[in-house]
Amino acid sequence: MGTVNIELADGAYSYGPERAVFSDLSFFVRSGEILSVIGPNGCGKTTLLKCLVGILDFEAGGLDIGGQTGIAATARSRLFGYVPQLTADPVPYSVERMVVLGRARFQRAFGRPEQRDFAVAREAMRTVGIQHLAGRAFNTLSGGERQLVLIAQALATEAHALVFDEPTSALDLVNQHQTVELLRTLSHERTYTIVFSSHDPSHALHIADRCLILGKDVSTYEFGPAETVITEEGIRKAFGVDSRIVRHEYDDGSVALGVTPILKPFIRKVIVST
Amino acid sequence: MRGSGKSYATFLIVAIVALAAALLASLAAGRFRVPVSHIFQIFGSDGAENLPRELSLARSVLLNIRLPRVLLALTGGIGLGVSGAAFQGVFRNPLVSPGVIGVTAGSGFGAALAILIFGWGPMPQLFGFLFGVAALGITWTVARKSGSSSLLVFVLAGVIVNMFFQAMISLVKFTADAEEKLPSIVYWLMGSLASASWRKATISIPVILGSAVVLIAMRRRINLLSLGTEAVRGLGVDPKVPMAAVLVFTTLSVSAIVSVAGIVGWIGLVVPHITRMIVGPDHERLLPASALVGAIFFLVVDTLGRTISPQDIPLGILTALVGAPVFIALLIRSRGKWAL
Repeated sequence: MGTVNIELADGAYSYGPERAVFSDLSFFVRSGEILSVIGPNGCGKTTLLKCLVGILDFEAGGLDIGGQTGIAATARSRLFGYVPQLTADPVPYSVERMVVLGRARFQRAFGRPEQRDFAVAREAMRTVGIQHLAGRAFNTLSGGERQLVLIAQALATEAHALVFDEPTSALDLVNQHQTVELLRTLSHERTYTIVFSSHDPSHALHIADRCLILGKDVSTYEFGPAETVITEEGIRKAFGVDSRIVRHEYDDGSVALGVTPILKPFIRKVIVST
Repeated sequence: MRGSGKSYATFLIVAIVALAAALLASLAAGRFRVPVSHIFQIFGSDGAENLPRELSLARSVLLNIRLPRVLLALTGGIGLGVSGAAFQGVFRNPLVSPGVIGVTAGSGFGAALAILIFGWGPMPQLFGFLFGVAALGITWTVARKSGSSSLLVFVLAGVIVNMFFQAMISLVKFTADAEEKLPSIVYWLMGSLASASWRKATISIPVILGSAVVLIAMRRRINLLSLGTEAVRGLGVDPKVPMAAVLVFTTLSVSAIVSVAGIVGWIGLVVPHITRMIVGPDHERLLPASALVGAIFFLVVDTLGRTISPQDIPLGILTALVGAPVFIALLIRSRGKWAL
């Protein structure tokens, strides 16, 4: 698999003259690493990812992908596998059709998927463990299953860099954990370069090599190795919430880190039974 | 999952047999009945001279009057079915039809204006076609000027253009001479193939069929486009060109149909829904299947229109009378959940 280093220097984007989303934003991620983008709602995580993969385009700044700079948005979009946020209104096509649509960039307007496209799609479904869902209709699946289908679709693009927008936000605890583990596996065993956004700093601390914290304010951000950036102080600055970094040591000596927000004390009503 | 490979094959066979039966019935039925055995005899012979004398009138009715009309109904149904399915797909909206973006009203206005100025002749067909295409151009320009690439803005622009051309149609009616021109304009606007001729057929059929072939060839792109503009970009495909192609070819097809048959509502809306119930929502199957169902639907409606009463009943009335109950039944059966 080819190497994909991604580096942004002084990137900027705005929705109209009065509504800058971010400016002078710089970060990088090396081939095979995981970069997580965290921050409160409305800080521009989704916009940043869309600019990165070429759905939108940066208004300023230099983006370097694998040594190439100035790649136009449409050409750039073919370098990424992109997993958008789950929408409330899923299409009714079969899971296999959805994953094969990941091959669309290789097909002409009148073209049809060939044997190889179906083979790549099957392999992608195997990687995320959804072969048994191939014939099911996408809109009848649970949120967790739909997330996996979209990940398989992104894998079917055969891009070396994967970008996930809030892959865990619509999921319950078990599915969040499985999705995060899947990202880790894709990065460690398959050497994909991964960028994902989340509003949960725990996920970033759990699997990310590097972390970008976007603040509510347009030009404030923190970027660095995940463990240096995600601190109690860093989270207070970005989210305005007190928290504790929780450390759990397993018997074999490995360590898991998590972030627990410290909320205001909650006083329970005394229920008097009659 | 609905519509496995085997049941799709069964559907295709049943639909093709039903289409052949509808074709024969449509050729046979009418004020001048031609028995099916005579139809085979007439098409089997190589000229009028070799036919029994009593068949020569039947031959002339069949070849000069009925055949162009039947072929226009057949291709018109294909065009409306495919265009409707493609439109509902790319806009991912069960209520959208080419009428929504103003093409039908524009084309209707063009033809009505030509009837007003020139009377019957080749002009209504030409004007109908050109104004249909112009309506798309206006909708497109309005949507572009708004600076938004959202489909909703496009549909909104279409609704405005549609209303504008509806008003222009009313203006033409208001201006028209009530004795002579007004009835023919009103009658024509209600939709009818009564004026079908070989001249009209040879101009419109290639445009309608050509557009249908292009749209069917693009059916996998239509699946992709139905995911929405951003998802398509995220998958590494620029949606602009395929989207424009779908709009242009549906417009060509619908304008060509309206320019010969007047405003035939309902078919473009109802046929894709009926077809989706049978073969499922995947456009890989939905587009070819909608072509077949549309052709059957249009043939049946046109045949009914010229047989159940001594005078031709306008298509717009019949399609609504047939379409509305079918639509209601589908709505109840699906319990309000459109699997689109």
